[in-house]
Amino acid sequence: MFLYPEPLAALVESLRKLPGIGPKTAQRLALYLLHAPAIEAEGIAHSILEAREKIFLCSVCGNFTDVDPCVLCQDVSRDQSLVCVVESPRDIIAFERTRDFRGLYHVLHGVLSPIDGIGPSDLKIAELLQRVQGGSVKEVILALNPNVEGGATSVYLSQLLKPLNLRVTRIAHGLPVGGDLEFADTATLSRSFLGRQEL
Amino acid sequence: MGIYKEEAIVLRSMAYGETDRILTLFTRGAGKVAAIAKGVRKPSSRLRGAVQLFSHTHLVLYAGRTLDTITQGDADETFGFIEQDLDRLAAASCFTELIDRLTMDKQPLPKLFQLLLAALRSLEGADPDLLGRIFEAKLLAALGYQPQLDGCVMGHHDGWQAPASGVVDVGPVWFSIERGGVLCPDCAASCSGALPLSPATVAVLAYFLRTPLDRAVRARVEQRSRSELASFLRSFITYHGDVRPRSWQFAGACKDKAKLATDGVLTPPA
Repeated sequence: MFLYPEPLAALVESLRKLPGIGPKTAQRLALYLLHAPAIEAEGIAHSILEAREKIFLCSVCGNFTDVDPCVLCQDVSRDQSLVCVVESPRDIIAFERTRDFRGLYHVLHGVLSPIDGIGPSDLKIAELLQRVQGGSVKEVILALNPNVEGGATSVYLSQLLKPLNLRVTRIAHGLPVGGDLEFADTATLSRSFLGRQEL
Repeated sequence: MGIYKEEAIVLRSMAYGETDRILTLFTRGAGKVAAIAKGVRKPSSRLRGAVQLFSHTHLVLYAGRTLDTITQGDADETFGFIEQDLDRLAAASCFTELIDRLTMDKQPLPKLFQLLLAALRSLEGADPDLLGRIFEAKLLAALGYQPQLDGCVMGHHDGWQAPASGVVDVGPVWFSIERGGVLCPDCAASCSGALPLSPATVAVLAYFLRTPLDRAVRARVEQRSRSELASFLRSFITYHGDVRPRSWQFAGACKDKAKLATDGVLTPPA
């Protein structure tokens, strides 16, 4: 039976380790990299190495950065009294796209998940508590995904934060813009009633 | 099988690709099923509310080679109270993880489905810790591993019965995890690894096994028996099921507030 030469087999095996990449996709990507101009393949390899070398977690908010503190934490025009707690750095990008939030962020790098063995000590919770006790933070906005793990993490964080005399809020739950009421599920509809606003 | 409808409880939910989730479902009619819910992480998804973790839901699925695809769904109960309390989250996670790890794919187990549904429903008002023990005992029975509490498990001492709870100075009841039942004193002496249990603990276990879950949760059990039963049931499940669920560790951490404090979590740093 024909097998790939060792360096190619090693490349396929390495690519298979990436999330969402199965054996066939790994094989296709590996062959593409061999067919592509050498400069392109070298560029990809260089980008991976450079990112690994230069990117680290911001010592203040836990976001990915190449300077410490990150550009968001250094920005004095942002409201230093507001901290928005998110699950992952990707959520910061989503909020920044709205251009509506001008406070600071804190990345937990996960949520509580007993089935996955993720407990409080696996998240950046101690760092959050230390950060908000400086006195400049007045409000913590919990912006975790509206699912069971996100909800439980929010409740847990609020129990820890409220005794510190902070305003603790959670982003609204309810109907998506452009959605149809007819197709909304009962849990979303119930929460949309609870979070109704006066006009 | 093509298209089929099932009543299901969501045991596990894992993000997959850009917007999908791979779910492990425990269905009433088809047992454990792995299914993909496409586009369900988008806010506009119609399915999103029907496939949340722990939800009791009615689904329409299309059978696939490895994964079935969820095409429609309507949640019956979402057990929103679970996310309001870490102890309840830990308990619900223990229930679903045990079922996930102790059952085979596509093996219909309707009694176990009913047990899980009853346990999730009871979780709102019951003590999560006690409910966990009742669930574990009934789960073992439903899977065919019911601990034998009547007579010596070695079977050659006719008429011997474990001492009843409340009898003074009877000493411990010996139990063999390996053989799955209680031992008479003679057999206990010759059996390596026999575990001493208090008669009260054995009585509580027997009560949990014979009493419907909704009544058993009202039992008042002393702390000593609770601890002994928890340790015993976990050893039994680990030995016979060859599993050590990760949720157990989380549940332990929730109870062990001192440990959380030393992790710098519950007690904010000065």
